[in-house]
Amino acid sequence: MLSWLLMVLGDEPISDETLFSRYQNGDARAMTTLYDRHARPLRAFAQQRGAARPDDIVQDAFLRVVRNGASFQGQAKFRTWLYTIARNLCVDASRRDRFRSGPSLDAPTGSEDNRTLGDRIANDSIGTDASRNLADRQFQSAFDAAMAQLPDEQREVFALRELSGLSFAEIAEATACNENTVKSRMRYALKQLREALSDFL
Amino acid sequence: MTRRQATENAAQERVDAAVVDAYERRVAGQAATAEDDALEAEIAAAELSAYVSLHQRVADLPQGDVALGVRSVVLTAAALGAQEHAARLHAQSPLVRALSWIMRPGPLLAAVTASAVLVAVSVRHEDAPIAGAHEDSAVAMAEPPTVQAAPEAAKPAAQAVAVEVPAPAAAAPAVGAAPAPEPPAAVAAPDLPVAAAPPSAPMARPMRTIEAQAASLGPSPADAPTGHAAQREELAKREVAADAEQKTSAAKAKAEVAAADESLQAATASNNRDNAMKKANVANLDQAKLDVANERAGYRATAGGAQAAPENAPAAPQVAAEPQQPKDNAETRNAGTRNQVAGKAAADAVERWRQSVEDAQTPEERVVALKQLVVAAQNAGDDKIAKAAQQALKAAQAQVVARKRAQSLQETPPSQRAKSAPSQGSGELKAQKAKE
Repeated sequence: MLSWLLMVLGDEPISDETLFSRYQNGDARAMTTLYDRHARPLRAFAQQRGAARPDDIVQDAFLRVVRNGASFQGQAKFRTWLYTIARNLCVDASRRDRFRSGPSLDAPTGSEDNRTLGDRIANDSIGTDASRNLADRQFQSAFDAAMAQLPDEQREVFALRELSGLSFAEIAEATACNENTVKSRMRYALKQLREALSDFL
Repeated sequence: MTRRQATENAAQERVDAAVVDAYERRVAGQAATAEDDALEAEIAAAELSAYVSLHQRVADLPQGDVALGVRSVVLTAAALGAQEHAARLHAQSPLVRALSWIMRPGPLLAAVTASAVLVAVSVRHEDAPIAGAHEDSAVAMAEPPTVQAAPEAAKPAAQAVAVEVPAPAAAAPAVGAAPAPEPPAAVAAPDLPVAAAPPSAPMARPMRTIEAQAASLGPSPADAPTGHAAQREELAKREVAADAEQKTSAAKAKAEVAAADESLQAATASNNRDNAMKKANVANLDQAKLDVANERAGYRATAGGAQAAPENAPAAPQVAAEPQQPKDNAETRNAGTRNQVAGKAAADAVERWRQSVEDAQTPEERVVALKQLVVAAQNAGDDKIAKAAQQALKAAQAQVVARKRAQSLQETPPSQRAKSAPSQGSGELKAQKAKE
């Protein structure tokens, strides 16, 4: 309890591995912290990875973490483990989505603002999104389109680095590649995105 | 992909990695390094700036929220999982928990490291006395440079130099005895030219260090002995101890050799005594044989004298001596030899006396021969011959008696014969009648 209070009141965040170790010892609040820390970046990665339903990826990934928590021995970083699980789920989901007939809520609708079907349904039901101005939405659309043009390997590396915040070493471990190869993919992704988004830079 | 292409790809990856590293440093706000400047010379500096601008725009993009339903599902499952984990932990015994904690990589690595350090320290302690027994040059080789090896000796030496030799730097620059403003510098100064010595001369540095240190001691080295002198004294003590130990071990070896010689001599003497006793036994046996032969010859001579009257019984002395033979031999021969010899002699006696019985001309000779035959047969253990000889002896004795009676009757007149007749037995009368 004291350590938990120190964690909450202290400035220095507790590492993922420490939190997960606490969860393995029966502390459910540690998993709440982990979820709040990684859910959104993980969703962004899943979305950029091409998953039709990134929330499902996030949910399945965390459920697998909860289910297989006893097998995690701390030999790898928790974040690397989580994103490896999410990456495999994305691969499985993309294989399943090839045979999907219905439209996805996360798929672009083809309108001028390039909003997804889910965004449109939410905005229509709740109201306008006042927090997002037109420029941001345009850049978001252009960015999504440019990311869609990238090869899978480059898009994956860029998303893991820029959207999820993994280090190149972690990306190399999650993707089972050499670190220099990961950096080379990163450079080509940057180069193509710069060319595609030159109007916004 | 050929090897050349692979090499080119690897080189290109290294260049890309350098660019990305520069980009990362810029994003992190770190100062540009010389490597970054070199990269900017190769690629357009605007490219890196564009990358950084892209990073900022992407970072400003809002990330979509995860649905609340996902959060509730995950956290509910996490709560259930935490309860299961806690129950599993409580179900485990403390031993299992301790083992699982110990077998983690961290404690294992710490234990291995600690054990390796302990082994290294113990091995070093074991090697220390061995290393100390080397020669003086080896000690000089193993000794670290001046200041670390003998700090206690270096300070007074340097002070002495500083006091007695105010400015001899130009006079003795080679040995490094020049005074310096600080004592450690004065002692360590000789190491400077030595450090530049070629590696092909490994003895140069320690020997020159020793010389320099000895020179730095000044004119009164006895007042402050150096580390070398102390080590030499220690080495001399060790040599003396080693000599004493060697002498002790040599004396022990000599004592052992002497003890072995004594035991060998004792064994040789015992062997000689055994041989002498064997020879004495053999001599006694020979003497006993001679005694037996002499006694046998004496018996034969005695028996020959006694049996000289009957000329037809030449073997009588031998027969008379034969029963004495086992008694003579009993003292010197063993039982087997004695029995064998006695048996053979008895058989020979039986054969001889049987021949004598057959050759007998008169009943008296026959009686004598039969008596001897009975005795010889009993000695030989032949019961059949003994019984038959005894029956024949009775018959012969009866024949002898009848013959003597007949002779006496012939010599006696008839008147005396009638008087004496009632005194005679009925058996004699019957025999006399049968003879008549």
